Amino acid sequence: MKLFWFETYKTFSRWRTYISFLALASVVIVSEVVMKLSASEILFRMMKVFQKDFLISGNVLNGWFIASFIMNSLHIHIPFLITLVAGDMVSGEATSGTVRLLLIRPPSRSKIITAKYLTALCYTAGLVLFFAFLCLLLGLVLFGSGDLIVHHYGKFGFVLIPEAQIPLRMLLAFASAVWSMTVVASLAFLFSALAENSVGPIIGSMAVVIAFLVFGNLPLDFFRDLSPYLFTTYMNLWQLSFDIPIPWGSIGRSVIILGLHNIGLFLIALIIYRKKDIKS
Amino acid sequence: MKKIFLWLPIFFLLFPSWIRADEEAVRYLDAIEKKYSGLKDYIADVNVHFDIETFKTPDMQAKLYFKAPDKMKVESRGVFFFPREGGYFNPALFKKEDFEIRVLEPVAEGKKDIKLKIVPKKKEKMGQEFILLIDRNDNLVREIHTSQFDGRETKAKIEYGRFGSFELPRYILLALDFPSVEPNERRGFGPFEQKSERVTGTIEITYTNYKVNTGLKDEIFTPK
Amino acid sequence: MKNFSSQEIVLGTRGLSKKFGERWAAKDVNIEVHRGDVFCFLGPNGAGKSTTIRMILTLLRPTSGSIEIFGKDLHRYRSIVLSRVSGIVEKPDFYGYLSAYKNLEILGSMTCPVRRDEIMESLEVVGLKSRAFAKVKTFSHGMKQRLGIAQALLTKPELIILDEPTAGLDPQGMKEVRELIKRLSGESGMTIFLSSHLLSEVEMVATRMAVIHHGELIAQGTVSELLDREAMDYAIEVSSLPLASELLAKLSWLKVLSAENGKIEVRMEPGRSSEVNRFLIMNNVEIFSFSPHRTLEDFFLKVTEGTSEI
Repeated sequence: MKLFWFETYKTFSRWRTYISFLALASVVIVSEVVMKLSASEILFRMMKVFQKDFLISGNVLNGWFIASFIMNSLHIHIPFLITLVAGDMVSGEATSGTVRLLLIRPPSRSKIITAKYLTALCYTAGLVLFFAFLCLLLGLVLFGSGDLIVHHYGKFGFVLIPEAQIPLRMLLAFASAVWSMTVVASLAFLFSALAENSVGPIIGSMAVVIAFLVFGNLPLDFFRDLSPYLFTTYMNLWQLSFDIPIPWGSIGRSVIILGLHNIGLFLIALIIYRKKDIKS
Repeated sequence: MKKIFLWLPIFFLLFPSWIRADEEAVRYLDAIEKKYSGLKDYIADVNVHFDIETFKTPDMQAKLYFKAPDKMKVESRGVFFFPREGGYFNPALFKKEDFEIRVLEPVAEGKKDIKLKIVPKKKEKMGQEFILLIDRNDNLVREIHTSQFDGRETKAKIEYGRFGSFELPRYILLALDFPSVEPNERRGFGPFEQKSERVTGTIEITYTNYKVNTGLKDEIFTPK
Repeated sequence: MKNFSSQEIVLGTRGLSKKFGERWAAKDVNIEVHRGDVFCFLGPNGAGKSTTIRMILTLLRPTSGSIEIFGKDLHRYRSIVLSRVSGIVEKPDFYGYLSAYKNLEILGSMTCPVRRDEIMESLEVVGLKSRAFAKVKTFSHGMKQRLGIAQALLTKPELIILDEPTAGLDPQGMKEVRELIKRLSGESGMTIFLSSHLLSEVEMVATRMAVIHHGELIAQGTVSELLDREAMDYAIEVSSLPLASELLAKLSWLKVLSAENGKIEVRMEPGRSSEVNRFLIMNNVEIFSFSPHRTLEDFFLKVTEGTSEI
């Protein structure tokens, strides 16, 4: 526990950790302010497919909708911000030379690396929750509350979540988003344990995420068969929280698959790092 | 020349019946309009139930305000989707000035219903056509079938109740048959093109708590 | 001062070896460090000193061999053993974005609970108390070196392992480190294992030493044992240089190295200086001075170049 607190203290004492939070805050604030200014245009585009056939009333463009709308971009910028810290977690010690003082202490490498991994996960959770809650709070302030319409652009169909049900579903969505992003953190952490500097792990992790996202979206039979095994397929796990009824089976399956990824990636990092010669 | 003399009598025999068909069609609609000439406005509570696979929503509730001839407003606490075509009752919806009206099927022996075909004259409404099933004994529109050029079809069946001195809809069953993706929203190309699917289902609209001729002011219908 | 057995082996390696690819960085290294020793590990660059120290501090996994500290196998009892050991490997690097105090608190607490006053005391010993709350990234190299020693001392270890502790320090800094090492060994009874290139320094502080070359241990023992074992050079100031040279050339167990400026330099077995003295006097050569000319550097260069004559 002590090791975990030290690692957390070290991580959050660096100003670079806060770059991610600042970047996210900028994205959210600018996006929501612009959306507020362009509210009617957004509403028109969003509801275009329904407006021929339906009169629509009520506060469709509300804070809940805005939060879920911006969260659709979760898998675009959040992975990069996660790798900035998770990818530096272990290799950063090698780069700075502090590894030579760290690993000669009594705590085993297993304990040290576990503490670092937990810190990486906490950072990931903190980042995603910060993003999600900021989206939501600012959205509610600017756009007010109401029922949540979940709609796929161009398709004739929607899901409506009554206002009373939204908070719990949002919490479920946030938890799912955190869980799906932890795999990115685990991947970056593994690369960090293998490398002697942070650039490789950051670029490597992003390359894997981008490649998997592309593979998972290519409409070819081979990639369709492959996609259930790619963790990026489950990055939009949070969206299942806004289905009626909530597909608990799919959510459970996705959670388990992502969990297995996390365990596997961490164990590989642990096994490799325990045996690694520290030459730097 | 011989052929012209053969076709001319046929033409003159039928021509009066075509004229008679348009006039007859308009007469049915005039009768309906006359029946509701005293209806100045009404307020009703509306409940909409969707039974469409792609519409996952609980029942929606709203208050509907109508003022003759064509003012309509919906007020709801939450989000509310209200079908435009066949969703609310407006006795003066099909004006002969705006539509071409023809009898589609004459009255069959023993049947009280008549089918009218209504096609808009105005350019902005072109691409739509309506088929009305009218109960000529009660002067009520029992069904409205709407077809649009992009493949959208709706069929509304209307049940009436007596509210005050007017027969007003208490239940409308709307059957939909729509393409799931707009033609211009279809993604991909060639073998990767998004396949077009149909969305079918029903919408049930229930009207209660009618308040008729309460003297609604025009300001209510002004958008805020 | 603690009572301890000077024969107790605090650190012992048996057949310690490390191979990187096809190259042996350390081969069959057998070291014994006794309690209270200031044990110096000598060797040219790339000899295997850092490799050996890294294996002792578990930064590298030995290819073969064993390490025992305080009589316990290091790899089986790592946590227990390392709680009584501290060290610096090469240049001490810290978390630059944290203060000196915080660095010591974090690193020290990983071994045992450390109190604020203990941290401040460690900083005072190395002269950094006034900079306790300054960020380490503002420190000079010398200050970081001293901070490294502070973190090594903080947990009051029984064995300190220092890899080139005076590297990068100015002469004053070097002197301070040497005196600190002597004080720690003498007053606190700490056992110190250090590597260094500065032979003059080793000569001043070491009680025992080992020489490693091409990964292999080539000499080990107390300084005096090692130096006495080898032939010594003497400088003899005489009245008649030609006569003295002629006379000494006749002695088979002695080699005349040079004869100039009234001094003759000879190399001979240690312990025979009185014989030379008597021989010259008996042959009417006056002797104005007779001084040994043997340093550790000579010994070191000799053993590492493989040119030891005796």
